[in-house]
Amino acid sequence: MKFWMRLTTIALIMGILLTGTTGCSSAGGHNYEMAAMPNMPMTVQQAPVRVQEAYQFAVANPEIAQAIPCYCGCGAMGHTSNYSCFVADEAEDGSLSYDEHALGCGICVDIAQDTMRLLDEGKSVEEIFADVNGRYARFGPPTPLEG
Amino acid sequence: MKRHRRLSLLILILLTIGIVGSWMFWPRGIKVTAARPEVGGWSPDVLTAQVGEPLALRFTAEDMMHGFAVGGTEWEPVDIPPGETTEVTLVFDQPGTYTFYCTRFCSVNHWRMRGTIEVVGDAQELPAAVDPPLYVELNLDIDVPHPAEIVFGERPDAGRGTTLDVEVPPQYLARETYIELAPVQVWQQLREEPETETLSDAELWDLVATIWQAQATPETLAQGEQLYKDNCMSCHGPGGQGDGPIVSALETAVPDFTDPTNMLGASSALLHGKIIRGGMGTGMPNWGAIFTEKQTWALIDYLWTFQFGKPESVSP
Repeated sequence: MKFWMRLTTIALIMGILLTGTTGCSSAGGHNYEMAAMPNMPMTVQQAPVRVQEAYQFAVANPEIAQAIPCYCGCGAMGHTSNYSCFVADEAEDGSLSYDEHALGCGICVDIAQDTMRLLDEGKSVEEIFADVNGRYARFGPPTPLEG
Repeated sequence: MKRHRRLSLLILILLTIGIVGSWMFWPRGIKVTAARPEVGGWSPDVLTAQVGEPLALRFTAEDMMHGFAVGGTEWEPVDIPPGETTEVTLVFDQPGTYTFYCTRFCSVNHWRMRGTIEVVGDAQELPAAVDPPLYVELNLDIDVPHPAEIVFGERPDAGRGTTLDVEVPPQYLARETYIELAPVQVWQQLREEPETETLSDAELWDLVATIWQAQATPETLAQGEQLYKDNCMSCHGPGGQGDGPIVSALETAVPDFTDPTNMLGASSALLHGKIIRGGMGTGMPNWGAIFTEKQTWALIDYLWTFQFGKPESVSP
């Protein structure tokens, strides 16, 4: 009797575990911050989701986005990093003026998204720099990073 | 006691059948949802695979018909009708980063509907050094206007060009000329050549058209035309005039490939750069992530037909 009851209990637990694993999806936190969307310009708020996320990431992580170049050709218009594609200027009071360049650019947004993904994979900024360079240098020259 | 044992045995058998059945018949593969970019695009948009191992994908479209294709491969696009599950199994034989994209026009932001497949294998995933693109090697600024100083009056005719009784200096027939020089530069140089200096302006343009058409083949033109229809026409228009169906929703002007001033001052290398890199903030995507080099050059061959027509052998 005890044997059968134990066996049934084990089988039930296994069944619950298996059922649970097939239906679950990872929610997972990120290794970076995201800026609040309501503070963004309306054009950004109405942009595709990937574009919105790229702006949110760049605004919340300037030190990282400023360490990663952009390869879309925007160096010729004064951009110094992937950050410049999203943020044009920061006033003394900390308020930002946004650059709408990335709204119409695929490479800028893809680089920001790759940076986010690689951060989640635990990569360092140096590793992300090398990875991004390997992916995007075939499209254009890098922006000259400051500092 | 006995009844209890039978009940336990029955539960155990049913559970075993259920677990084994689920394992056998549970749909295999990664579920990928397709939706317009405004509401999420591909989800997930990053996939991973092993070289030589099948990557099974189960697509569903949330809002409308989408299409799935993998850039840099010869695999045919697959439609993803809404309300159905579309199963696709891929096997990559080379490591690298592949871009997958939507092949059905789904919104004004359709071009943003892309994702990546990271394929890992024994070989090195990323090259240690990346060659700069051709336009960078040639020191071309592809973002400055490049109007031709001289253009033709009447549309040139490559057929007439072949009947001219002149010997074209061989350097003008070289592939490098087609790649690196704009048609107007070749016209200007031919104007100075002893073999062709006696030709009229119109005859000289016919000769340039002949030189340009000689670089294309029926195969590249057919491939280029198909690529244009599938990927460029919605903005650039069926006749290349920059009047595609979504132009009214765009904030930037779309170049007119039939405009001689715009096109005759551009080299093929310049067009190559614009295609692979995209329009730098203009909404023109970087097709270098999707087209192979062969496809890119086939598309360039086709773009020149808006100026110089198609060879008679491929004209309808």
